[in-house]
Amino acid sequence: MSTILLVEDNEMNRDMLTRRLQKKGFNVLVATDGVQGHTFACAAIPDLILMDISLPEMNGWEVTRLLKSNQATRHIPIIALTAHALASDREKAFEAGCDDYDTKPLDFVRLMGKIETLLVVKKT
Amino acid sequence: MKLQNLSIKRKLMLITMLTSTVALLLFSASFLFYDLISFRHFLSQDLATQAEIIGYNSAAAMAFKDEAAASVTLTALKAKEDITAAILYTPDGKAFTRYVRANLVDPSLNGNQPRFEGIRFRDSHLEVVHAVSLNGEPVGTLFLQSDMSQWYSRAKRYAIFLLVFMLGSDLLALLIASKLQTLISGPILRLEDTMHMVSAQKNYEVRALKFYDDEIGRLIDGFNTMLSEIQQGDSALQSANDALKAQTLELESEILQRKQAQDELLSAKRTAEDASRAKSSFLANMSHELRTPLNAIIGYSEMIEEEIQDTGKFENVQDVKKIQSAGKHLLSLINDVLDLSKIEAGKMGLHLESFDVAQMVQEMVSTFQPTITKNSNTLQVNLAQDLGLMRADVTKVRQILFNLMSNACKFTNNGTVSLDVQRTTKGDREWLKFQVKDTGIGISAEQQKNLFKEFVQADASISRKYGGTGLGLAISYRFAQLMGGHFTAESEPGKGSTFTVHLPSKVSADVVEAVKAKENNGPLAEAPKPATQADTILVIDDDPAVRDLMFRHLVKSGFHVVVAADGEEGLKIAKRIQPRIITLDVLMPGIDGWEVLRRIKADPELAETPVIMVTIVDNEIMGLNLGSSNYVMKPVDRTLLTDLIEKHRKARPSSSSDVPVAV
Amino acid sequence: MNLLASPNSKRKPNGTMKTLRFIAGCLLCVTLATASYAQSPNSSNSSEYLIKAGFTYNFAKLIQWPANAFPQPNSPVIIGIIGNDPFGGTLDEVLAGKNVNGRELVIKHLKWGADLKACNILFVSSSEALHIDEIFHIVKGLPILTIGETPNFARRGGIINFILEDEKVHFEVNVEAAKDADITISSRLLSLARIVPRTVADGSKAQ
Repeated sequence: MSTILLVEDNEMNRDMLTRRLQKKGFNVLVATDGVQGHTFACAAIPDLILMDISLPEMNGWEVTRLLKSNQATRHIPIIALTAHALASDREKAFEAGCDDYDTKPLDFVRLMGKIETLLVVKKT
Repeated sequence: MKLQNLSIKRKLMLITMLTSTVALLLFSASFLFYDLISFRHFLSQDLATQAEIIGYNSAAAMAFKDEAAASVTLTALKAKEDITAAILYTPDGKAFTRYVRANLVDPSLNGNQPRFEGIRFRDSHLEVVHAVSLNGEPVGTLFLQSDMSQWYSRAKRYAIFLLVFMLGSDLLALLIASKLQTLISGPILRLEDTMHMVSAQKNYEVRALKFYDDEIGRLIDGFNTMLSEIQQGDSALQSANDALKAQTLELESEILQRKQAQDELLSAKRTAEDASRAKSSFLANMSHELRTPLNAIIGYSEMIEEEIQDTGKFENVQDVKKIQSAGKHLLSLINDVLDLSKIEAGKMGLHLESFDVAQMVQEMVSTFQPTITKNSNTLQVNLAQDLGLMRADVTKVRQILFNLMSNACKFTNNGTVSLDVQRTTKGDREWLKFQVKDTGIGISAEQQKNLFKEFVQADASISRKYGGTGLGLAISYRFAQLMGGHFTAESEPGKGSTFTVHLPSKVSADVVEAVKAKENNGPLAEAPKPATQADTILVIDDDPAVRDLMFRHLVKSGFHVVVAADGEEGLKIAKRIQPRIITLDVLMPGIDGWEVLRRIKADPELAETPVIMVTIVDNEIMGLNLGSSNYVMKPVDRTLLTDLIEKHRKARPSSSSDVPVAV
Repeated sequence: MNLLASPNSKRKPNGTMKTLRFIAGCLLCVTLATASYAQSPNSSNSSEYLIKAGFTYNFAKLIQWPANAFPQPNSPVIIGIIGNDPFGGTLDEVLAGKNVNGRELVIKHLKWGADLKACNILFVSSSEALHIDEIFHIVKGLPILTIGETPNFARRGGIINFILEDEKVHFEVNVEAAKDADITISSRLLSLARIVPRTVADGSKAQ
């Protein structure tokens, strides 16, 4: 069973995603702010991280950068979740080191596709 | 005291005096000289004559050696005061008898006969030695001596007289001169006074009086003429000065106004910038804030739906689906509203990237597959082979296509929706043409008018029946515009509709720049109508300076400008690029503006293009008769020109070459 | 140099007087000789006559004969000497080469008779003192300048008379006699002369 770390400060979004991911059979870790997210990532070494961008304490880009520059956590695929749909956000995401991104409102099916792709990649 | 600097009066008098004195002097001197010479001559002649007479008278006495008688003769000389001595000598040279003037002692007289003959002057005495003869027979010699007293006294007398005469004449001359010099000096002094007055009072109306018609009179005339000219010049200067002052004041006030305007503009700009920033953050916030709860609504309802599916309580599924549907609708509404707000606020930017057209379309096709099947429609996708790459804002292109496709699907039942994508060349650029055809309900002519306007769906009922926000087309249209493309629609009610979007294969930075510029002017401008290829202005003018000016001005105002240097070239370019508006100079080499205008109006492709005549020739009526839409005089009022162009552009919101026509 | 009284006095001659005059004349001669010796190198006893000769020449210059006195324009002036020639050769000397108004001067020694008329100037020598009236009679009315050297010569009718006074030669002139002879005497000459009025034949005219 794969572990996904979800870093999201919005409670409803967190709740929805957690439940839906669990339904899909994932083990879901939750962090509510950037710092926590970073800590959990380093501690738990999840299989994938869903990173909301607009986070308190530390925003998603920062966390991503930190994780991607950390030898221990570099390999973890990160999907950025952003409310903004600008292409510049996409670029920013990839610049920060994200492996993929998705826009809110989330299309769960679409998201699942991305998750699976990345996990497969990781596995291989 | 230098002579040169004496007054005219003194000079004149001095000249006169000098002249008359010199003349008198010369005259007197020469007269005196001549007179004295001739008097001397006369005296000597006189003495000689006297000697002759005495000689004659004493000849006999000498002949007879009658000393007494001879002496008597000589003594008679007493009467002649100037005779100093008379001596008769015997032929042997010895003195015979003598007469010597009283009290005169002259040892030189005591001797023998002097050794000269004739007349001589010696020691201021005149002496004559005369041979006395009696009937040709020499009987002795007479020596006669006279002092020159006569001569001297005459000289003295004359000299004094002449001196007195000279003085008197000089005095008289002085008098006359002093009276007459005013003939010369008077006018000059008057002139001098006048000049002083003029220069002291700066009064140029004064004129010098002319007295006589001589050189001075002419001088005075000249002076007066000069004064007139100065007066004119002065008053011209005055009025020029006044004009200058007025102008300066005007300029100053204009500068002040400009400054004020500038300040206002600056503050307005700052306000606008603030507003803009506020808008941006508002939009960003709103975007986030609005979407987040919706997210929850949609998300949870989806989850509920899944759980219902799991639990099998299907009767609630519909309710949940309604919630979902409402939520999704709300979301798309919010998205559309936010998009439009962004566009309105000028905050909608383009993010250009190159992408494979065919690939993009293929990816999209799958997304609206459900919509297709919903209405039992058939989808046809025709992609040309050479689509290649496009450089544009992918997201927007996708959005446009999605919008068109979903519209087509929505309004078609059991019909065909086809998507054609082609690469074309229009003008000197490459375009991608996306055409969505449907065999749906179509759009009536009335409805076509409002097609691209926001918030107006064809009919209020349609949105209820067919869904949709009514904003999609407006947004798509705007997106197309932003990227420099254009949008057209054709439809026949009942038959179907065709929507065509032309997008440049390379959306240019210029356009983006122009758009950005317009966006930044957001609140001050109207809904940003960025310069697109359709909104090209063709400037035809033979003057390179004018062309440059117009180009720069119009580009600054956000237009795309093409220039032509003469009528022939202009016509060629016009036919090729189909400009939105043509500005036309009348006076040009080759074919002039009127001829160009005629040809434009005669060409069906260009006839509808508004033409603004820009020229110095004042012939508005002719221009209007020929169909020039408007007419401006050089030098061109920039604001006027821009307003005119704007007016024309607004009058026809779409490209001139593709007019919505009911087919 | 004063000369003694002229031998030509106006008084009537008597024996004593004659002797006296003779002595005086000798003295005069001596004086004259001395004087003329002092005066001129050509001294000769006849210095008196040198002077008289000179005077005579001068007279000729200062008088005018009437037109009929000379037959021709170039006829010479004939100076006739009647009586003893007192001049010796002095007159010749003085007159040599001279002329009067272009006329030569010719000296003639005259004899009694018609000769007397054939001259222009008649010098009556003192030797002819007794014959003076006769001479005057002969030449009466004729244009002849009569010159004498005896007392009363002029008074008696002669025109010019030499007088010896204080060893000086003077001369008298009888203007009327000149008029009678139709001879014009220059005033110049007259001014130098002593004018003598004519006396009657007996010479009783007062001085």
